[in-house]
Amino acid sequence: MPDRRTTEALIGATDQLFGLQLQRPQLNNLVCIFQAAMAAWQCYQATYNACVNPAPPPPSTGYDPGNRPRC
Amino acid sequence: MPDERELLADFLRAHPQYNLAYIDQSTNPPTIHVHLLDPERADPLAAASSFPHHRLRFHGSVKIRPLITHTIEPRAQNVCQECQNEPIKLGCQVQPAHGDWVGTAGAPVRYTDDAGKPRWGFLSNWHVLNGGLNAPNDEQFQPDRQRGPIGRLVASIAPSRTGKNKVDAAFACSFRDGKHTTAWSLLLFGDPSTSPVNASNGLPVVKVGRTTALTHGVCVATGAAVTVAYDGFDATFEDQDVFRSPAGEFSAPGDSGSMILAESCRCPTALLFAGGPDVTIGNPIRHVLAALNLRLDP
Repeated sequence: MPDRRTTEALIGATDQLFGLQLQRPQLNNLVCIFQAAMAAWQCYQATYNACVNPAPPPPSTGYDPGNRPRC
Repeated sequence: MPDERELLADFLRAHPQYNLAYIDQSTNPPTIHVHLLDPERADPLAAASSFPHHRLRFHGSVKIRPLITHTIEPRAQNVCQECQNEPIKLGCQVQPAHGDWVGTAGAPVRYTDDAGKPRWGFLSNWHVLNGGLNAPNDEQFQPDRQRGPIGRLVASIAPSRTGKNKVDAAFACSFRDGKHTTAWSLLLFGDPSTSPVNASNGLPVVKVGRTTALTHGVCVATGAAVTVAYDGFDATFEDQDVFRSPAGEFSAPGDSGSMILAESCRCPTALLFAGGPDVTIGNPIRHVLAALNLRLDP
């Protein structure tokens, strides 16, 4: 996720591009909203990936038979 | 130039009324035994022209199918159908997560993937652990889905409908939660040898499978061609081993995936994958080991 300075720079560039002339409080709010949205998206992606592509079990380094009851 | 084993398979592909052919080299000239699926469509002239230097002998109908079963009794009929505690001895019943059939988890093997990484687990057939399901890492349950999984499908070789086939085989890794679920041993038999041996005519053999458990048999032919009637398609295999039982049945539906071992040295010989009344077909273990990059020692 981009840090606060990068996010501010992005929003500042957008501000200049469209001539919005945002004030500091508005800029701060936009940074907060942007970062919250990014965090939510990353959380969703991590959950989705865990469900659809479960991590493979850690590799075994040798034949090691278990002794666990299962019946 | 194709050898006699390839010629037999080519002959079966060209003449679907025959489904099993093998050569008896002990006669002069050698005798080709051909089994007819449909006696009314016998074509001795075509067979004779394909093999002008051999004597031909025709046999009656033998439908040869993969030996899985969809009949899962509520109570186990023998120890191979029971739930097994770890370390699980093989020759036991197994069911894939998405399949409604059961077969046999046949024997312990070590698999090496393309990156050189080893894994340990068990050998069975493509049509037991995979069966055409679109589930490449399907979990494998023992004895069925009522109990927990014991491994996961890693690699399998499916038979081709039109091409050349030598094996119907699959490997499942038995590593779960830090340990391997399976033992390096077979139910009712004990530890197999880690040295494979080729079958030969008259070789006494033994196998442990889900339905008929421990049975004794004898190799009656090697280098055979066989057409197997899968569910929805036929596939022709070349260079196969043929077994019969001197008394009773050597195999039955549900025994697919069993390891066939030479009785005297306990040496893995063939992977049981198909059969019919009074006949059992195995992939020579040398082809299975080569095709899946397997070893028989841990």
